[in-house]
Amino acid sequence: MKFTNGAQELTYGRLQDYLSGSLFKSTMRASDDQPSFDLVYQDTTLIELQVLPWDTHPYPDIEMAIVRASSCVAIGCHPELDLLRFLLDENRKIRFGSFQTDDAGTVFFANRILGGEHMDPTELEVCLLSVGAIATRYSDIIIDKFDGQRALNSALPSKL
Amino acid sequence: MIKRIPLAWLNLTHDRRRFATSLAGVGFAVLLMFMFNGFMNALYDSQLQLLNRFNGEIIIVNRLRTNMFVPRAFARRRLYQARAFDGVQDAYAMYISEVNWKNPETRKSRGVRVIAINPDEPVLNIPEIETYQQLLKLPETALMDTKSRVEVGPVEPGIISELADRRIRLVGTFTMGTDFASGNGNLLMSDQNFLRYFADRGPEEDKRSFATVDIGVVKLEPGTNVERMVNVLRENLPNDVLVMARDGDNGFVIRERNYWQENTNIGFVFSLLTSMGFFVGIILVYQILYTDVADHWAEYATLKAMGYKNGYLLGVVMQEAMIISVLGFIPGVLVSQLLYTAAGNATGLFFQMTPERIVNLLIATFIMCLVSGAIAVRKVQTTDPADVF
Amino acid sequence: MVKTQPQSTFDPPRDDLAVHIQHLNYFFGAGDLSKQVLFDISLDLPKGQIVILTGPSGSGKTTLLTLAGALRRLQDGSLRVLGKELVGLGDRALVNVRRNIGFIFQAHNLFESLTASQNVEMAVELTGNFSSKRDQAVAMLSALGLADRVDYKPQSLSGGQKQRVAIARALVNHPQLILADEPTAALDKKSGRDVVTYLHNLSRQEGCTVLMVTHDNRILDVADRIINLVDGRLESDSTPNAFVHSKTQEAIAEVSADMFIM
Repeated sequence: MKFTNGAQELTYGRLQDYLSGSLFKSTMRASDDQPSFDLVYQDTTLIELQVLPWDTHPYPDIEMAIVRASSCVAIGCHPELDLLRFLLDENRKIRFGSFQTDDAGTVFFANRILGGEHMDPTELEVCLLSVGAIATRYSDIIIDKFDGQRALNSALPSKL
Repeated sequence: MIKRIPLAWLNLTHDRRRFATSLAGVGFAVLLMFMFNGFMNALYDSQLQLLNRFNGEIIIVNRLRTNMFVPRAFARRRLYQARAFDGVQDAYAMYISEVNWKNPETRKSRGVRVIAINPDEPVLNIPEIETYQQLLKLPETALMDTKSRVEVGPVEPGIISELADRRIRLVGTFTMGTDFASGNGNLLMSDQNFLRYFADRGPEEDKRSFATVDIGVVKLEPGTNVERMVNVLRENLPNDVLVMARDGDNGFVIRERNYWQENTNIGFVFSLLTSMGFFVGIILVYQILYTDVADHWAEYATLKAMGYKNGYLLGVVMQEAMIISVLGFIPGVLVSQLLYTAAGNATGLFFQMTPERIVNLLIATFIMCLVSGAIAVRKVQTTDPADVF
Repeated sequence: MVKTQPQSTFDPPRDDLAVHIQHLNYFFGAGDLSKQVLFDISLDLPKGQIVILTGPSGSGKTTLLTLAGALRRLQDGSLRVLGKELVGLGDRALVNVRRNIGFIFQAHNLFESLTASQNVEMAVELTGNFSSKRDQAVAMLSALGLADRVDYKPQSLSGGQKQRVAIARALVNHPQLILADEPTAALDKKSGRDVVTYLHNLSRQEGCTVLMVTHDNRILDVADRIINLVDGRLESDSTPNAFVHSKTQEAIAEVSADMFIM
């Protein structure tokens, strides 16, 4: 696996350490070639965890990376305008993270925290729990309200 | 049963060339000791060659003859007196002197020893006397020792040359060997011839005649007790002569050997040289052992760090000392044997390698290696495993 | 015998510690030339821990390692190794303690005249197991991937292989304490990694304690604990996996989405 910078490598290692000792340890899987993990929240919801390098940042003397946790909530929802208004409204009420969409109309819930040396373990855990909890709760709501379907979760190759 | 790894042997033999060099070094030291020791013994043994050929158990000489070659004579009458005793089979007369022999080729004169006996009497255990018995009775004849040195010139029968400025003809040869007192060679002739040439040898020697004898050789009846006979003769013969058994602890041979040991520097010089060989050996072996320890210092220190006691390392060094001492001794002995023969041929001296001398030098070699081992071992003991880190 | 502080001023021995150091001071040389290299070191190494000792050169870390290895005589303080107090012990007693410790040096220090197996057997002979020494040596060498090299002499082995033979020699008697001084310095990245992985697994499986002096940043992650020594003093003592350990262990209640919605 190739890392772009040292902070990304360090973050990856710390994520690995955290995950192997956490409540996610039995469901976690690491990608072979990308610095990312998959884990399952409460047996239902797949969370994708990525470590992204941050090249342009305010601190010239150190390296930084970002941890992004995301989960796919629904696909194929309509009407689009009502969906978007709903998602933006809910964003205001949600403590950590936000709803996002992509070109194909997939609805995600994602949260990002600062990785690297200054990553806090409790913040990481709260990040994962909030993504898992919100995605689980809102998946049903959005599919009902906007006539969508469950996302086919992208499967990682089955070996660790 | 599986035993310990032979670390000493493996360390020594790992580098074939170095092992060979070590053995050569030890062998060289052994060779030095053998050669110096050999020279010393050869010089002594050579002095005794003639003596050992006497056909008799008891010797009678003038009391002033402190070594065999001092020119002092005694009265022949003493021999007749000796013959009278029970147990004495016969008493023979012998004359001996140093004279100049002219090399027939180079015309240069050299000193040789002349020994004279009655050819009819079995005075000496030299078989050639019997062979040339009749020829020796002719005037102006003699036998030449083939082991005489090269400077003496050709020694075949028929050679005519000069002895003490008088004509002499060689009628045969015999083999005995030179010694450092005479040096160049030996001539054997009849007593009659001797007295013709050498009745008067000048102021330094006693005048000779048939009434005098240089050395008396007394042959006893078989089974007679030598010591008792010596006492009998001593009590009954006057004090101007010395009576001694030839062999034994108080015998003539020992007396003669002691004389040369005490009155010359031979013993001192060659003992000193042999000691030097010994110390050369110690230094060589120490060097070999020290090099092994120094080259493998880290490995040995690691052994100590692992928990090996000092005693084990001492054992390894001592084993190495023993191995090279024994294995180096063998080539040393073999080459010494060759050199003994060569030196014997070159000098005419009698080089002899007896089992006793081999054992003595083997012990010396052991001690040599033990001493160097003990010194090298101190280096090992100071090996601090902590320094390996 | 040398003067020591009265043992009553030190804590009593503890069963769970492989190495127990209290107020250790160490001096090189004597008299006017005496130079202090370790200042009031106190350290507890539990059994089964993998500890890396690091610091600038001259900081005394190698000295501390040699003291823990019973290679030097000690005068001042308390140093218990595998339950045995080393301060005040004479040379003979120290030699006996060393037999329970496995040393891995930076240089392999193998005998050129012995095969790999024989080098390892030298360690087994210390225990008196003459009949099984060959089997033990071969087993150990095989565990380190050298099964096909057991009868080769060092001159026919690569640098990494030689170091592995040295490690086999250090570990063949399954010592409870392993002391290593820059074990990977002469090795390439892969060989170095293999060696520390082996030590890590060994420690986890057999519960032996590993104390390693190293500058090699590539292998720091294998340690449970990193101790930093500067100018003879303990500067820091931390775990490399501090990220996880720094998290306070609160209990997680049943998580509900309501927690994240205002």
